[in-house]
Amino acid sequence: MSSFFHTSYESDTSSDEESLYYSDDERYLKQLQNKKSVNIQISNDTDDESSDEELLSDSSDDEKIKLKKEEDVEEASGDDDDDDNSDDSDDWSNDDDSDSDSDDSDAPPRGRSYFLKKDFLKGGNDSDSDSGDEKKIVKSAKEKYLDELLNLSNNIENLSMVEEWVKIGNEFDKLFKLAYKHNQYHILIPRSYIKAISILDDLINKSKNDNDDEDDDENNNKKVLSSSESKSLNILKQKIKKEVKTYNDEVLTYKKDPEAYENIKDDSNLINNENQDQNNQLIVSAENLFFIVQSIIDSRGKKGIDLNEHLNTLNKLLDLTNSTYEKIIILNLLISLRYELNSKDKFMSINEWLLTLNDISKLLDILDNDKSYVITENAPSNDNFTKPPPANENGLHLIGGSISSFVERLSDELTTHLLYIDPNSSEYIKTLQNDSKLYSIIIRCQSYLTRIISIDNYSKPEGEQINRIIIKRLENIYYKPIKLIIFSELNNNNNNINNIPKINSSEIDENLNKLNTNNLIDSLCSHIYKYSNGISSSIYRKRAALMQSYYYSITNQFFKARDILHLTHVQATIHTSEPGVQVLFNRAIVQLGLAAFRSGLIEETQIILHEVVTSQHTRDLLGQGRIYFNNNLNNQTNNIVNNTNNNQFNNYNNLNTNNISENGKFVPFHTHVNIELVDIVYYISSLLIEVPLIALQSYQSSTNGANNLLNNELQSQSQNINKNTSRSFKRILDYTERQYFQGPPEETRDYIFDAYHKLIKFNWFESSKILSNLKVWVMMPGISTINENGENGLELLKEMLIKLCKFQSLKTWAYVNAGIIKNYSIKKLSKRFELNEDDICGILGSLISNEEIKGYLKINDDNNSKWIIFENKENGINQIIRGLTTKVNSILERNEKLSLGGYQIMLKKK
Amino acid sequence: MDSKQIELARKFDLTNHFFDFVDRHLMYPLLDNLVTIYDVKEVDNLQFNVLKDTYMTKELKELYLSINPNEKDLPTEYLNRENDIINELVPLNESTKETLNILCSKEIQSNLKQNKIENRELIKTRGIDDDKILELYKFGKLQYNRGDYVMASDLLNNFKLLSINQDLILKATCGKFISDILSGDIEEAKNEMINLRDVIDNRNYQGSSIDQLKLRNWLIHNSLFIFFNENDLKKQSINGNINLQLLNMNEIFLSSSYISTIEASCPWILRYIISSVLYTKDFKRLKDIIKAVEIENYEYNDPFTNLIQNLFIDFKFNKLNEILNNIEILIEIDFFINHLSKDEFINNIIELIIRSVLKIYKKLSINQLFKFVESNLCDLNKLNEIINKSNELKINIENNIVSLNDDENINNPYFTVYEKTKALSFKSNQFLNNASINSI
Repeated sequence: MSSFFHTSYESDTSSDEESLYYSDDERYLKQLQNKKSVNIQISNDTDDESSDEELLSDSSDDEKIKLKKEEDVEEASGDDDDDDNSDDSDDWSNDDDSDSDSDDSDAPPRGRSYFLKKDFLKGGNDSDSDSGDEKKIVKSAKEKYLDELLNLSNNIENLSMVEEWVKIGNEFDKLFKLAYKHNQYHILIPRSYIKAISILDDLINKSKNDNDDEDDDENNNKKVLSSSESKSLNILKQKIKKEVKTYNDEVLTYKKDPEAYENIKDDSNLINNENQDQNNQLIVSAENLFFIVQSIIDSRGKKGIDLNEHLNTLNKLLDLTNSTYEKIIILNLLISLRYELNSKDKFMSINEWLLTLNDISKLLDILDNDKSYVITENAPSNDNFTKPPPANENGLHLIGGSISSFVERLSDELTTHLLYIDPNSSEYIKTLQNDSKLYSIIIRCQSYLTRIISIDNYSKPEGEQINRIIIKRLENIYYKPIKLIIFSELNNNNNNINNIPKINSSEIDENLNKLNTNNLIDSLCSHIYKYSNGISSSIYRKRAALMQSYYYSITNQFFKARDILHLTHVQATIHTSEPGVQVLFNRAIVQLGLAAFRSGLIEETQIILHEVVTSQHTRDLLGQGRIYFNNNLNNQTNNIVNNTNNNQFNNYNNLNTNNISENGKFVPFHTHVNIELVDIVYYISSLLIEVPLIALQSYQSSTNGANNLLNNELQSQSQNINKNTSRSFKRILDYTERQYFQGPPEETRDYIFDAYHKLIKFNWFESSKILSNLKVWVMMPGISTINENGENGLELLKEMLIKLCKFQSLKTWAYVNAGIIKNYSIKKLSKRFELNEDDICGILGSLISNEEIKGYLKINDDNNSKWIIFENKENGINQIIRGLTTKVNSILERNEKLSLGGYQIMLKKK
Repeated sequence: MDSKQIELARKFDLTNHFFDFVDRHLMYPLLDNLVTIYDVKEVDNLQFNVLKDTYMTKELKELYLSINPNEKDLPTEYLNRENDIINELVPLNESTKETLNILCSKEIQSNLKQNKIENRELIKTRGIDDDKILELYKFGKLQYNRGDYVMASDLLNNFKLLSINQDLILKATCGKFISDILSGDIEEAKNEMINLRDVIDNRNYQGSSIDQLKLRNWLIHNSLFIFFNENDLKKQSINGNINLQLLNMNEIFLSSSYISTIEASCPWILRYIISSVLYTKDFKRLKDIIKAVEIENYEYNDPFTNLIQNLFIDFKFNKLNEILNNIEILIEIDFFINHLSKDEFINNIIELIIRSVLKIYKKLSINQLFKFVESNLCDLNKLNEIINKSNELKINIENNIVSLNDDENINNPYFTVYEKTKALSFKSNQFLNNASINSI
């Protein structure tokens, strides 16, 4: 602490003479300051608040002084306990006076603001000043706070003379609560508090000694404490003991010289520290490196500190030093400071981000170059950080820190940034380009961690770092097509990394590439399955499984993707997961549906996509909502995915204030799934499934197969209303059919119904043409990849659609015409639907076998041609009789119930 | 077999799948079976590798000499092992002999009771403590390792009766199960299988579910040795009985927990289920099989699953001939399936095919029908024979038209209406009576 300041302060304990002397001294100071405004500036630099204040108050300065004069008269009558020195008539005496008036609220004299503030305080006390200014209130609150503390400690001091423990206890409780608010005012623990606890400590020790004496001397004539008194004494003892322990140093200084200690103002502590910083910054050199670093560490988290300044200093220091240890320490601090710098902004600016990235890579460079230093999360704490920690048994110097956290944060910052900028802007693409840099840092970090952590420790908390970084690595690649994954793998120029799974070469053969990426993803995920068993392991496992499945889905490996989801049982516990994981789950599910569609498994597609598509909030379920999207949607009632809904929507309102990228509740644009595509895929699969069924119900309803189907449907409907996957399609179908005028298709959905009208007339050619020419297919993942036969994804998709259209229109044809046509040549059918005869026989065979149509196939002996022979459709009277018998049977059943259960059924009916 | 057939046989050979689930000693006969499709030397090599870590020095020597005709004896490491075995064997033999003698003594035998704890107390008085009991286990393991399966089975059985260590008992049961299979004591093995199933399929299975899965896999693979036991199958086919054993297997393997295990980790077992169901004409289980085949189609297929796939899922009958030929090869080479009576098996398959075809085609002349099944396995005579034998098929002698022998009435509307309404009047009368009784 500089001696310069605290001599100019005064306190109530000082004698009148002293205060006189000091006040004169201070007055002199004031004058000096007023004359040399430059000086003021310098001294104010240390405290942003006060300099702000000064600027604000500068303009009204003179007015206030005048006002002050007038007030002074009243003041003298109001506060006359110590106006010994208010005899001066010039401006300065006023200040002086006010200062001594509120002597215990000791504010250091700083510039002109100093007296204005006093002014206000006093005005507030006298309740006739209305120059209220928010800035000033802050100041006065602090002073009031110190005042109050002082009062309390004085009370305690007084009470301690008479040893009234209950009262002391009460007072101390108040003091205790108050004292711990000191952080709000950015000061160290108040001195008056230290004073109080020291006094009490002494007192308790004394009474303890007394008690000991009493024990020795049985005839004690000391006053016996009442039960309540002794109780509060005991409580107090405990508290004081603890407090004394915490502030041992302070208490000792106080005890050494109480007066001198009290004379020091509370504010001065901070100011001194900062002054030191200031001084040090002037002489940035290798010698006082640790000194500077320490001061920066101390100042972290405090308000009004110029972080940029610190960053500059640290950068300079970094250039100066050559020692590995020092560099590591500085970089460690530097990176955390960089993150801190932007903690209030929505996202880190890209320049800052790149700087941080560079710093991390520098840090990794250093660590790779000198392998005797290791940064790890579970390093023992190093008390004296000016020296490198002693080497452990393996000759390694362990330094506390976490590279994985740095990298995680780096990745999060990029994601957040991407979420906040317009995805269609060039800025987005520019930002996204940094993705590859991030990826190579992640790989380096993983390699580093794999190097420093032995395989035995993988499943211990230490190994959790690797899991975290692997998750980040997966997050970075899981949504990419194979080619992109290989690019990002090759892009980083650290080919020397070989202790972790990595792809080092791009093959010409697509299949080989696929195999490589499969292996990469598998090995990363299996690491997590194998070694993750911390608290958050379930989240990591789920995330890994979902990303693995997602990857397999987009690379057209439907069965693998499905099996992963099946085997991990993610769907069973997804309700209870955090929103980010649920979003990932929905994304994986949607991709699985798309993969099923590409494989031509339309029934699976329909079932998989049903829940997501028919939800009203598809966009949000997939984490693709807009960031600033504010909504007040009602909760809805569905199952699996809708849990996601509720969680999400409840949180939406807080989103704007919170960190939105947190938990991956939203995903950046480049990872989005095209929702129109998902929609269309769902409706196409519904279309292809439903068209034959509609025909079956309306033309062949009397066959056994149709009845079975109907019964199954009814059953599943009664079991679970949501399982009825085709309902939404039928509803939309009804809606469009009710339109009086159906114009040419505009939306993609209109095309589907266009295709429907063609398909229902067995026109597979037109409908498949409509479907396969949809523009939206460009958005299909993997559409441009070329398979081993040299066909690209789009061709395959079209082929698949045409084939399905043929099959389904053939089925529809059979349903509609069975019983109307007597027989039909398979050859003709084959021509009509451009299918080979075996396929046609297969399809018709399945219909016959399921008893959905009545008929059989026939082989003509003459020319070996095949025919389908339809049996006569039931005639009208048969149908009516069949209906009648079922009705009669149901009446019988009801009667049965009635006869057994009395009138219950009647009552129910009502 | 020509080269094409051998290639096919190799393609569908399942022996490599069994390596993960079957003990070395049981792999030996499985590998033996491979001589038909692989080079003898190759098989010998494999067998040598399989037995390398066992104590069966005699067999090792034979194999080694046949692989390396120039050598006279085994390399020293194996010879040394022989000594080790003897060193290990002798003291164990001594000490267990004592234990066994005590156990066999009349006094003990007459006092033995159902209660294991009491028995333990009883023999403890005779100086048989836990260590001695454990020696039984060790010795049993050693005997098994050197190929004395009867002895091993006996020792392990004694251990099982006396020990209270549940883990070791389970291991001993498994060991005894294998020993019994190898020594040919099928009845005893069946009992052990029941014991094992009690443990594995217990609702309150103690271990982790992954252990349970592994055990179940193990049991599925090893029990094939029992279900497809050659002697049993022959005996029954001579007597003309339906094979109860295989029926039993159908029931076990198609129960939900087993079929899901098979689907999850060993779909190749479907081959044995299909053949067993077809062999026993247990056609009511076809539905489950069709479902399983459909599910597993993407990761496993062989001629048997193809047969099911084509008959019941795709209804593509034009490939049946090829499939039949493939099936023939498999019947020849598969270790388990070739224990089945080939004729009967093939007849069943062909009957199934005919029935399925006729379901779609209703009426076919015998020549037309023959086109579907024409293959190495089936000629016209055989087809005739099968049709004549079957109850479900009928043949019109005049024009040689074959059709299914189903009830014409089922599709007759008059008949169905009659069926549905015939009970109406009776039931109504019943209600009336009931109602009048109630009202009184």
